[in-house]
Amino acid sequence: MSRSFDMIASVRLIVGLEIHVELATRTKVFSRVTNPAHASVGDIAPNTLIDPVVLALPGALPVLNKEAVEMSMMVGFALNCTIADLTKWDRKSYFYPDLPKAYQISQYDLPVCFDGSVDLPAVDDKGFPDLTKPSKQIGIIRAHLEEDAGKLLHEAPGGFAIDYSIADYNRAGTPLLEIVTQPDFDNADDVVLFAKLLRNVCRFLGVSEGVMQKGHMRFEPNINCVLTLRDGHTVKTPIVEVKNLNSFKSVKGAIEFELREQPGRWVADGREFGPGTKVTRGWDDHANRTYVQREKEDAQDYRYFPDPDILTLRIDEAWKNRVRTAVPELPMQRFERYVRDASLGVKEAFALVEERDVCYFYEAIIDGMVMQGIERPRASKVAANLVLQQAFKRANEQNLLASEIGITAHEAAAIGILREQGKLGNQAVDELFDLLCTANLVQGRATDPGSAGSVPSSSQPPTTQIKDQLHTAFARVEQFAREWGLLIVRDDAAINTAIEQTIAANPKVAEDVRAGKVQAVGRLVGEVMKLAPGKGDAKTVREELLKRLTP
Amino acid sequence: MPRELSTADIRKVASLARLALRDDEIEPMRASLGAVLTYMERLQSVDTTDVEPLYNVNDGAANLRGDEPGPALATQTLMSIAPAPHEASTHPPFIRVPKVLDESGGA
Repeated sequence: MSRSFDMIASVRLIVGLEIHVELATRTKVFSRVTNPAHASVGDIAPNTLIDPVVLALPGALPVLNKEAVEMSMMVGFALNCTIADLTKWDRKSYFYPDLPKAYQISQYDLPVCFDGSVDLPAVDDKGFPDLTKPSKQIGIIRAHLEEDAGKLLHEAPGGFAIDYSIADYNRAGTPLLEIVTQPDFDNADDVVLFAKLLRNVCRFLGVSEGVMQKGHMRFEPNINCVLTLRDGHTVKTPIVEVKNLNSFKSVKGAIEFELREQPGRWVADGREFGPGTKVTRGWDDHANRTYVQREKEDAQDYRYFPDPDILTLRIDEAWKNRVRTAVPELPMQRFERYVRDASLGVKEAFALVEERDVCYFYEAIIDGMVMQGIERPRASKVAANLVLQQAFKRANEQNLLASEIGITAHEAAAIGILREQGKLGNQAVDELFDLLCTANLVQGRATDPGSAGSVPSSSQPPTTQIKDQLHTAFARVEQFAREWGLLIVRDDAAINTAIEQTIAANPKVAEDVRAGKVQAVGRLVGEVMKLAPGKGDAKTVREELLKRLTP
Repeated sequence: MPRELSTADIRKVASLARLALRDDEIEPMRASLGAVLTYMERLQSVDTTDVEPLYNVNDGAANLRGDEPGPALATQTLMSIAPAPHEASTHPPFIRVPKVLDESGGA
């Protein structure tokens, strides 16, 4: 039978995703040498994070890192998985120069986590979650704990061509959590949103920094298509697994490329889905296309068997419960809460939930304002503005988190309150925010109570203590504002004089406002504020101006 | 009795284990591998219908380690025991390995 594009009536995409997450334990998964995926490790010379276990020297035996198991369990809980009662490790045998033992310790039939599912929100046209549309269920087949391999380089440092490869074993033995989804995706945007949310979840749980450029997360989509032919038959194309994608852009690019190419490949060669037809392809970031990789010899023949060096591990209910209680409210739940309770835009809410410590900072500002009698919805809104405008601006300039810029959450709350009381103008909010950040960084107050990023724990200090801390922060902020002349000391006479002078000095603008161009009043407000700094707030000045210039 | 191992089977198992078998080693290997399979066959005949799986006689007793860093091995030690010692043409502290065409790597 000859095939042609004309025969294809429609194409449906099917994607399942494998994700490798490097867990940020301090030490490697089976030995005590430092793990390069831990946040404290910067650039490190090749072959320095090695030991007899990593290098598979004779007699060295692996001992499992408890922290790696607990981090795996936390991810499992976040993905609504069942946590195994009994789990074991197996040897996956293959020869490759990045694998010192000639086998990888992985998990075959009893993974730590299995049978999960994730509620994936719909995506709007900008790639943000859309809560007004129904969500989709993405099944999680399993999440298992294994070890990473070393790294091979195919050119010498400095980019010189070599006719051999060179190996760095620093990464070998880094704990790696491999998460496998059901083939439940039908478009690239959903896969990317899932990947982003998973990254946020891992960062919230503190199990990974999620730095894509460092390879903390690597994605491998399994992609194929269902072709519905004009005669009513359906044809499935062979699965293509694209290896080692480490950016969201490449995940999207690879899936969309395969969706475009697979119908044509079927037209050309007629190959259909079936046992032994799966193909592995690489991704070329520059050409924006996948390419055939040389198949590993006997790639499927890993001869898994239980690793006799590691006994099976029992995880009892008490242990599971301990780990479960350590799982914080996750980013998607916070996102929904922010959108619903604080009526934030999806873009703003998404920006806030990207970092756990920024969430804690934001919520501590809200709590501080609420304790001082501001209604929660209003406090949420004011706090969001402080974080998204003042804090994010400063954080971007200094390449820090919004929660790390020096100001404490209680001080930010105090600024919010003063603003609400009409004691601070916009300009003064900016200045006061910056002054407090700088002063705190100079004095090293970042570890103060109520400071940024202080993680809420079950042993919260009593409310009275928090109130005391709040009062101290408020007093400090108000004093600061007063010393720097930022507080509005209401002086209606001074404002009236300034208004009269301004109208007299800007007859043309005043005329425009009288003629109905109300937005022109903004320029006059600015002039008045300059003439009488700190004597009134912009809102009152504006009202006063309009009263005089409009009937 | 299990099916006798073909020469192709033996060659495949040897190649997976990266063993270079001489032709005169095939027959002894057929005999010893066959004995292993025969023993497996005997195990298969045991009725395990109501027996819980046992992965290890010490099931559930894995030793766990706290996440406390220990010492690293000196890079120099690795260099001195590497099969292809670094020479002027190679790039310490990397280990030189045969050229790998497939660049996928990683776990």
